[in-house]
Amino acid sequence: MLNKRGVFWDNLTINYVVYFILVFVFFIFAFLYVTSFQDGEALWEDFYAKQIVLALDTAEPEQDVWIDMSQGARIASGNKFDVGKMVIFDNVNNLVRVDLGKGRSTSFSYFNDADVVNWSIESPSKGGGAEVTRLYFKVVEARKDG
Amino acid sequence: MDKIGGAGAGMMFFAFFVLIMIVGGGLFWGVNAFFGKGYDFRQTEAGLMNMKIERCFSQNDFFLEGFNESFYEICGLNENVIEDGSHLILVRNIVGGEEVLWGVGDFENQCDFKGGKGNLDFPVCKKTELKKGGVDFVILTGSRQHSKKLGI
Repeated sequence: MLNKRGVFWDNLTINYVVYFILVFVFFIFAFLYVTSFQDGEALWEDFYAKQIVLALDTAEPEQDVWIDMSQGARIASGNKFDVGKMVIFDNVNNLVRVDLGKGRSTSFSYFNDADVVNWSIESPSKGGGAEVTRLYFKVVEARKDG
Repeated sequence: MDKIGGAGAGMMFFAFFVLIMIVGGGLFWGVNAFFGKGYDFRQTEAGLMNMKIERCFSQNDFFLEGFNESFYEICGLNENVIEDGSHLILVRNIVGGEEVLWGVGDFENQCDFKGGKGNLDFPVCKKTELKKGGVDFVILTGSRQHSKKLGI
């Protein structure tokens, strides 16, 4: 004799729970993807990564570079993201990574054979004047390990 | 258990999966169409590479035997980045035809391809001609690099 009660619970437990989990996972990814474009975050990450690479590719050894990142700092602060970690330089892979929060970051490679040292995010205007946040870094000759 | 009903319910999973793909694809396309892919850096990068190579070429003989091994160090370029499949550096003797090449050689054809204009998957090239020692050379640099997204 068919156990109809068992069949009912079997369908409910397996089918609907699986569908629910899949829909929930899809929703989470879609939500994170769409919100990464909020405040133009993705666009500004792309812009800053390329502007920093532009400076790096044209820089000479021992050159100091400052880049205004006030807009990026505003977006990162809004995302409760540490402004000091907006930019990461990867000297091993010649990569610049810009992260303004929301779990995604943007990277771009530079062809200049140079290393970046002493980088920091600074806010020179304290008390009076416009809010300015800028990235500072120094370009040096690439270290040759061997 | 009703096996006929079970088989139908199992097949509906594929229909559900296709629906998720369509919705997800539409969402991705719509957001990218509205917000765009950022600004195009290929022309700028090709121009910067060209400037650097022109300066290096004016101070060194690229066609000297053995120069190839020390090209990256002498001209201050990173080999891993130039050989990553998104860049081209080509220097050619216009009359003699001798050439030296680093990166993706096919970019020379792809840059000239009219169907590739406006297509972000094609490279953008910068060409300059110069005279060195009474000989005409052409320097061609190309870039197809785009920014990469990491994380979700």
